[in-house]
Amino acid sequence: MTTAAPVAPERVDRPAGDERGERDRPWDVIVWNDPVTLMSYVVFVLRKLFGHDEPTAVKLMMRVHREGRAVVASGPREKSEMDVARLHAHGLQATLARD
Amino acid sequence: MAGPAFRSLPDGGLSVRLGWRERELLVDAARRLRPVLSGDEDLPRVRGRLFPPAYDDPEAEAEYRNLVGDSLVEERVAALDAFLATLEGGQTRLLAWHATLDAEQAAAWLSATNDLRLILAGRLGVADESHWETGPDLSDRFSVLLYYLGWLQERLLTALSGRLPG
Repeated sequence: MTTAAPVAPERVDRPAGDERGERDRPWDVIVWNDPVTLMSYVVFVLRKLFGHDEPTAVKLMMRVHREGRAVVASGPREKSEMDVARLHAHGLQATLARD
Repeated sequence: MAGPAFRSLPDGGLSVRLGWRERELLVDAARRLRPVLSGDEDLPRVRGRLFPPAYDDPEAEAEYRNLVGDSLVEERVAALDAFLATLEGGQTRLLAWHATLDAEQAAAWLSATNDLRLILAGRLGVADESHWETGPDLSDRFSVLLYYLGWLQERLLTALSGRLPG
């Protein structure tokens, strides 16, 4: 399966000339594929937690499925950590990391 | 059984109808597998999947676990208990079991069916998606249950998805 349209913005890009320090680099929230969880469940959780519309959530889910992982949100560490905890509360495999 | 198991109600809840044997199967599974979720039964591989790490870095992971580890377990066990409580209520008539769930109980059903699937798949050693190509092993009750719960959760998701925005 392929998706032609670009996926909605996945990360907060730093504006040009931004000189914020190391501390402010955003943390990515990454969802990992697993062979058990239903695709429809992943779509449901992404819609519920991040307020995505269905096509956006399906695209993210398919990216997880095909590529093994997808960045579903990005932001300050506390917020990203909270997002990961909410994904964990729903039984999804999620981590946070930054480049 | 025929027809959808769940019907959406205007107050955000769900009406559930299952065969009485299905209800018994779910009660038995929830009681048996609860200790794996609560940690009373030590199955490290399964628990590793139920409660996966947030960080690669061991120090950050230890902090995260310290901060939210207990509440993640407590919430999921509470959802499984709410699932069991609704299964123990309801009414059975003409071989069919029927119950009405409020929105919170419906969310507990989603959580419980998902956790039961993760536990069963961990016990069966489901390692990749090719597992699903062969269908259930009818001689193994855990395998049959895993497939049944997938069927049930799919219908639950259909009933609940109508309420999400977008």
